[in-house]
Amino acid sequence: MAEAGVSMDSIREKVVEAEERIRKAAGLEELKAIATEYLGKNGALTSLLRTVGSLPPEERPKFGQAVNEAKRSLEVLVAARETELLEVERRRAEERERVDLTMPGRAFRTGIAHPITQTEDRIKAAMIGLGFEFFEGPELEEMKYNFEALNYPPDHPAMDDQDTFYIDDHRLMRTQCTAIQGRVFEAKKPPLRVFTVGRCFRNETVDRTHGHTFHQVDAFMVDRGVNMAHLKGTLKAFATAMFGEGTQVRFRPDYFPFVEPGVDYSISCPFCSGNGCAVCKSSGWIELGGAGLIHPNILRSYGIDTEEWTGWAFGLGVERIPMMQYQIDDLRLFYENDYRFLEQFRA
Amino acid sequence: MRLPLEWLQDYVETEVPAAEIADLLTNLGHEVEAIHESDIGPVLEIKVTPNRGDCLSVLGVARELAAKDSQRFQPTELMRTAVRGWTLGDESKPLSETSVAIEAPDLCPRYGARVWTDVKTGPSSERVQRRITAAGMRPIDVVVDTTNYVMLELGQPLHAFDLDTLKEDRIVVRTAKPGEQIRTLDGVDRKLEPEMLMICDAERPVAVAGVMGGEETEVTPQTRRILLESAHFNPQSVRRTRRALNLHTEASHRFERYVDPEGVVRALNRFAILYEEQTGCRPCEGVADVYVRRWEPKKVPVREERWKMLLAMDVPRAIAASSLIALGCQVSESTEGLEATGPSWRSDLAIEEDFIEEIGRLYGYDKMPDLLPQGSTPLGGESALTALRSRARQAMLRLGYVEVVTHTLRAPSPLDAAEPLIPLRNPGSPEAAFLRNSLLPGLADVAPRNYGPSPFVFEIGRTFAGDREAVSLGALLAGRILPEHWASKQEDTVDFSAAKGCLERLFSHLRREAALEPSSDERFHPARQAKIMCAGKDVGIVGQLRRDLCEELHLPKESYAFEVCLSDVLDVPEYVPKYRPVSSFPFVRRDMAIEVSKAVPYADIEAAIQEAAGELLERIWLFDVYEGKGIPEGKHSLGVAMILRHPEKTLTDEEANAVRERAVARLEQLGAKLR
Repeated sequence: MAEAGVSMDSIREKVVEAEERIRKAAGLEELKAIATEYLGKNGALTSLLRTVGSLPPEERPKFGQAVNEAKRSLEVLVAARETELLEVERRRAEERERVDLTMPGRAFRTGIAHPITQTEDRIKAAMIGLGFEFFEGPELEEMKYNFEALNYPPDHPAMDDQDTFYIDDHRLMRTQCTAIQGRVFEAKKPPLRVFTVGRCFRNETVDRTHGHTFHQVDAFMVDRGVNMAHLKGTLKAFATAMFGEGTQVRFRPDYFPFVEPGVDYSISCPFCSGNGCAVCKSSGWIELGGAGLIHPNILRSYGIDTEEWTGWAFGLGVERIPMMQYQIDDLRLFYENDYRFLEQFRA
Repeated sequence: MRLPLEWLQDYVETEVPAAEIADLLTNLGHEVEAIHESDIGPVLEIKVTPNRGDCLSVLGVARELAAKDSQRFQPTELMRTAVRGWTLGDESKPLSETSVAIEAPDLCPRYGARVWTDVKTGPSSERVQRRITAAGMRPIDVVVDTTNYVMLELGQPLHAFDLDTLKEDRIVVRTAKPGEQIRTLDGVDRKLEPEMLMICDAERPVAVAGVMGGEETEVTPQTRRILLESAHFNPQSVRRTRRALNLHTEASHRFERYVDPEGVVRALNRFAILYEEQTGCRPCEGVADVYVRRWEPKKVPVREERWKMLLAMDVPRAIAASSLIALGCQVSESTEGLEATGPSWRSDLAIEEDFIEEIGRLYGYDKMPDLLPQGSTPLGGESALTALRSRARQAMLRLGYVEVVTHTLRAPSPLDAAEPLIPLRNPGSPEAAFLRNSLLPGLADVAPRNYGPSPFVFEIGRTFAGDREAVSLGALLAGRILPEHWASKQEDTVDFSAAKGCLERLFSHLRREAALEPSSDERFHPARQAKIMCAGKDVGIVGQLRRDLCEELHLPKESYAFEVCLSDVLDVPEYVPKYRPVSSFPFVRRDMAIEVSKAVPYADIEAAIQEAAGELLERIWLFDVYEGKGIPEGKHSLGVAMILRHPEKTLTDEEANAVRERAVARLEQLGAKLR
C-alpha cells in the first residue's frame, strides 16, 4: 500500500465520496450497497483500519480513532437517508390508493320519515312542551262524541260543513279530532290540558286541496280563570314553535257549535314576515284553524261548574303545515307515497 | 250568499268601497270569499255561518254594518221602515178569501197569508230582474221573482199558490199521512213520510213546508188568484224533511238556519208593495195570520266581571250596552252589569256567553292581549300507546324502511285479513268504501308504484275488525337488502330471515320477547309464515307473500311482509334490562360444523349447546348453513360459532376444548355429529 493510502487525508477523501453517494442514493437497495461498500467487513473504511500497521506507532491510535469517527458519522447519515427513503416509498404506495372523490358513496338504507308524521312529531314536541298531555281517541267514533257531546243541536246545519261517512245509525268516521273532548271529560277532571293528533274523514270530492282523509290537531284546556287571551297566547307559543320567532296571532269571529265565543285564527305569514307572498296570497296572514272558549253547555253536561272552570280549544289541519313549508300544492301527494316525493323531506 | 252592493246601499247610506266592506264583514265573522263584478256593480259573496240565518238577507248584513260603525253606515229610511215593518191596510181584519189551520204547532209556530184576485203575471221589472240575477237567481215571472226578491232582502222565504187549484180555498198545515205523495215543482214525484210537515189544502199536500211547492198548485200565466204564504217553520223539521227528500233550496237553507218569526207579516206586506209597483195589483183586505206558538223574549244577565274575564278586554259597560242595543237587543242595567234580551231574529243568543261574544265581536278582537295560561302546572306527555308507537317507528326507520301513510278507507284487497271488512254506509266512491282490517293492502298499493324491485316500506296506523280498532305496524320488503351499488360485490336479497331479523330488532327496541310459531294465513306461503307470539299472545304475522298474489298485485315475486298489533304488544309489560358485569379477560372462539337432520329445529341445537356450555358461553351464532355435496340427503351442515369467556380469569385452550366436547356430546343426543 502506498504511503498516501494511509494518510488522514485518505480518510477524509473516502468520507467526502461516501457522503455524496449516500445523499444521492435513490432507493433502499442502492443505499444498502453503498453502506456495505464503505462500512461493510471489506468496506473501504474498514479496510483502512487494516493498514494501520504501516503507520508509525505514535500515529496509530489517532488514525484508528479517525477511521472509527468517520464510520459513525457515515452510519448516522445512512440511517437518516434510510428514513427519508422509507417515507418516500410509503408516500408512493399511498398515492396508488388514491380514491376518486366524485364516485358515489355506498348506498345504505337509512329510512325516511313521512312528512305528515314528521310534522306530527314537531306538533307533539311543541304541545308537550307547553304542558299538554297526548290523548288518543278512535277514528271510528260514536256519533254522540262527534256531534251531540260537542253541543251540535240535533239536525243542525252546522253538520253540513262536515259531510260524514256513516257506519250505521250510531257510528261514523270522526269528522274532527275535537271528538276526543267528551271522552276526556268522562275520564279526567279539571284542571287539564289535553291534545291529540289524528286522522279525520269527510265525504268530500277529492281534489288538490281536499281529500276524504286528513289529519288534525286538536287541543284544549280547562282551568280556573282561563280566557281568550290564554288561548291567543298558547296559539302564539305553538305557532312560534312551529314557524319561528316573531309569529303573531290574529282572531276573527267564527262559529263552531262547541265554542262560545268562537273564532278563526290566522298567523302572521312566516314566509314573508307579513310583507305578502304566494303562501299568504299577499295578505300577510295565513288562516290556520278554528278556536274559542269551550261552550258552557259542554262543560256543564259533564258536571263541570262553569263559574269555577273555563276552558278553550283550538284545532288545525296537519297537512297544511308541510304544504306551506315545502310549497306542496297537492294534498294527494301525501297519500300517494311516491319515493321521489318522500325522499325530498328527509330529516 | 251573493249580495249586490247597490242593494245594500238601499239599507245603509255608505261611501265605503266594496273591498273595505268585505274586510269589515270578515272581521265581524261573515267571511267575504270574493267580490264579483256585475252589471249593477260589485257583488259580495259572503259565507254566512250556520248560526246566523238572519244574515242571509240584505237587511241582516246592513244591520251588522250599522252596528259596527253607524257613522259610516247610516241606516236609511227604508231600513228604519223595514225594522218597524210596513203597514198596509187593516191587518187585523180577517181574510175572507181563505182560512188557515195549523195542526202541527210545534213544527209550524206561525203561518201567514195574503190573497190577490185578478192578478197580472208576466216578467218582473228590470230592477228586480237585475238584482236577483246579481244575487244568483234566475228570473221567471213577476210573482216568483218578487217572492225571491223579498226573501233576499228580508230573509223570509215566500211561496205563491194558485188559489183556484186549492181545494176549498183553504190551507191546512199538518204532517203527511201514510201513503201520501206530491209532485214538487221540479217535476219529481215524492213519497212522503209521516213526520214530514206539509202545506195542504182541504184534501192533499200542496207543498213541502219550507222546502218546495207542488207542481199542481204553482202560479202559471193563467192564474187569476194567488195565495201568498209567509211562515215560520221549525228548523230541525225542515232540515230533516229536505234531507230525507234529498232537496236543498234557497228557502230550506234559510228555514234551517232560523227565520225571524216576528217578520212573517212584514214580508207579506213588502211583497204587496213591490208587486203593486210592478203590476198595479193590490191585495185583498186583511191577513190570515195564525201564530200558535209565540216567540218569547228571554232576559239574560250579562255580568261585567264575566265579560272582562272571558274576553280579557276591559270593555266598559256603556260600550257593551250600546253594542248589544245596536244589534237589536233590549238592554237594561243591573248591579252586576247588564240584562239583555236577544231580538226575535237571533235564536243564537241564548246564554250569557252568547252576548259576551257579541260584545267582543263588535269591540274587536285585535285589542285582545296574548297571555300564557297560569294556574295549575300539569305534566304533559305522551300516552303509553303513543310512546310505544314512536319507539316502533324509530326502530323501523333505523332498519332503513320508508314510512308511508296510506288510506284507512279502501276497496277490498286479496291482502285483507280474514275478518270481514266494515263497510261505510254512504261511501263516496268504491275506492274508499271499506275500513281496512290490515295495513298490508295499502303497503302493496304503494310498493310497486314507487319503489321498484326493492321496496322497504312500513306504516303505523289504525286497523278495524269487529268492534276493535287497533294500532298496527305493517311492513313489506323485497329485493336487495342494500340498494344496487358499484361497491357492493354481492347481491344479498330479502328472504325469511331478513323479515325475521327486522322483527327481532323491532321487538328488542320495544323491550318485549317475541317468538315465532307455525301459522296458516291464506295470504302467505304455507311453509314460510309464522305468527308472532309475545308473552303467549298472538300479536302478528310474518312471512313470504303468496307468489300468485304478488303477481296479481304487481309486487316483486319474492315479497315478504309482517304486521304487528301494537295495541296488543302494549298489554305485554316491557322488560327492564338488568346489568351484567362485563369481563375484562380475553375470549376464546370455537367453531363447530354440525351435521344434523333438517328435521331438527335450529333452536334445539342452540339450546343443547347453551345447556352444555353453561355460563362460559358468552355468545353463540349460526354463521353457515350448507347442504348438498358431501352431506347425506335430508341433512344439512350448520356452522356454529361460540364465544367463550370466563368472568375472572383467562380461559385456557384446554378449558375451551372441554366446553366444546361437552357440547358435541350433548348434540349427539340429537342425532347430530361433528363434520
